[in-house]
Amino acid sequence: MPIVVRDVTYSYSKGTSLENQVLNNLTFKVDEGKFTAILGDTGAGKSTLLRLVVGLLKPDNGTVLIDGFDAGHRSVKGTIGVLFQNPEKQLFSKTCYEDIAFGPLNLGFEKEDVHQKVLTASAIVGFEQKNLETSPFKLSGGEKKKLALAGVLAMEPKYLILDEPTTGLDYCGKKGLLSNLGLIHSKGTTIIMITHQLTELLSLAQDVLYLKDGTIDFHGSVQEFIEFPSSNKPPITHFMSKLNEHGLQVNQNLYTVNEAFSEIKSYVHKRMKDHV
Amino acid sequence: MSNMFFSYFPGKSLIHELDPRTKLLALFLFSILVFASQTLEQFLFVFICFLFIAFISKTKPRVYWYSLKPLLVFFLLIFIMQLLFTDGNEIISFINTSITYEGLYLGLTVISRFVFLILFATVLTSTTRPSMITNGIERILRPLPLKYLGISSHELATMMSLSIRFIPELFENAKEIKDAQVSRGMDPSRSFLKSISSISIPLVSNSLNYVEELVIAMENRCFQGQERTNLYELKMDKSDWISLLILCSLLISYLYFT
Ligand SMILES: Nc1ncnc2c1ncn2[C@@H]1O[C@H](COP(=O)(O)OP(=O)(O)O)[C@@H](O)[C@H]1O
Ligand SMILES: [Mg+2]
Repeated sequence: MPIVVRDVTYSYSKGTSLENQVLNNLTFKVDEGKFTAILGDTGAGKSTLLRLVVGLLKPDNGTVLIDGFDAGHRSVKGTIGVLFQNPEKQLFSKTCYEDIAFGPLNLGFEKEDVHQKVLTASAIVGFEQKNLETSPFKLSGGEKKKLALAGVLAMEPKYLILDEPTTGLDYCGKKGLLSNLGLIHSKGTTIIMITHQLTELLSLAQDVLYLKDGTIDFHGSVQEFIEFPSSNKPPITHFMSKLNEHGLQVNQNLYTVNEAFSEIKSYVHKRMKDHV
Repeated sequence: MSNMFFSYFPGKSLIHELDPRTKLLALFLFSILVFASQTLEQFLFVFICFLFIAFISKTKPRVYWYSLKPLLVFFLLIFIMQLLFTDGNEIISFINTSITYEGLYLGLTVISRFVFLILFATVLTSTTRPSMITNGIERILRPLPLKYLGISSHELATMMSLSIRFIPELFENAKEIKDAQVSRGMDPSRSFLKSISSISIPLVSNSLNYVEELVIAMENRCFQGQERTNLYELKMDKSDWISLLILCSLLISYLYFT
């Protein structure tokens, strides 16, 4: 059974004058093995939704089921790995090694297995072996992020949920992370990634869930989403429609630089042939 | 909700409108009242005063609960200490300690005082913007000759309000760390002491980073700790003077008659 969210409503500061309804009657399903992107502007309620899915918050109304169990239920323990927003502020162990080993140890693995898992996880995210024995507080921001992700991956969760993991990473870091996610996904992990930039997920995501003012504004495939009126189109798509406006008959529904490049190339070729 | 601890709730009420200085002084007067109270009747009187103020401030009951809840463990510890380590007439005795009437009485008194202090402080913080509290503290301290001690009243006020501002931040971070641990398979109901030891070290380390960033950000924007123009000028109204007058007479008669 997949992740099922049904009629979920959530308000912060209930019963005070600051009461703030953040999520309003959400219903959706994430199928096993899918890569889902949750999009939405800041404050749309993405992180709140994540907290509900992992069971750290209880919905005012409605249910969240993971594999048929309530979120936060004992039997779900270890099947969901979460990378929260600001993971660099959530490290807590004396050494990086201990931090990565924390999850597997809690799940009751033997020392040998734990060691293997720590090494594998740090290799996947590209965390340097020589840093494993240092204190996590001495790392740079990007390294702390890698470490936090390794800590989650070491549990080998069935579902992986990430809250804006690329924020604050440089271009290489982003690319590395995304290709890692692609790899993890191809091995069968269900991934939900929260982001406010669709462009970075175009080649990875299969499903898009667009949150707006606490409701689901859109749920469907990436292709459908880009044609959806209120979506933020990637810059390259804007560029193509600008070209179109100015009389160049190119296909404007293209979303990556590579696609656009070949489209323009073939257009130019065609025009040159026409001239000749 | 940890981040609701002593926070401000916008609203419209007589208490919201009062000058922060009035509210600060009132808090001071009520603290005297709370500390002078010993008997049940006296605490009842304090409670009635609190109910009255809470009623006109229109603050919802849950807000007080938010302030009290994180401190419950602390209250309990104090209560147990008083209960176990006060000599007097025994009620029950254990292997080598005994619970006494005096201990029970002292324990209840100390707890009641703490609870009332928190409640009155919550009235202040829930009806006054933090920046206004700073402003009020600064104006109250301004006439004091603090500058001979090398401190400016503005600096002191900023320090105080930053510390107040920092408390919810700490709770928030502690919660984030705990969430991260729980989501990685830690037993959420494991012992209080164990959680404290695993959370406090990263908490201190994160806080130091945060403070350093804050200091740099403030200095970058030319904060130098000296007196500067206030965004809001404070003004004592008729309602402020009347409130203070009522409070003072209340306190004097209370101290005189009991
Ligand atoms: N702990 C909290 N207490 C009160 N309000 C909150 C809290 N966390 C978030 N909010 C509010 O809920 C809304 C959604 O927040 P969040 O889920 O973090 O959004 P996103 O992750 O999409 O940026 C925001 O308006 C925010 O102010
Ligand atoms: Mg967020």
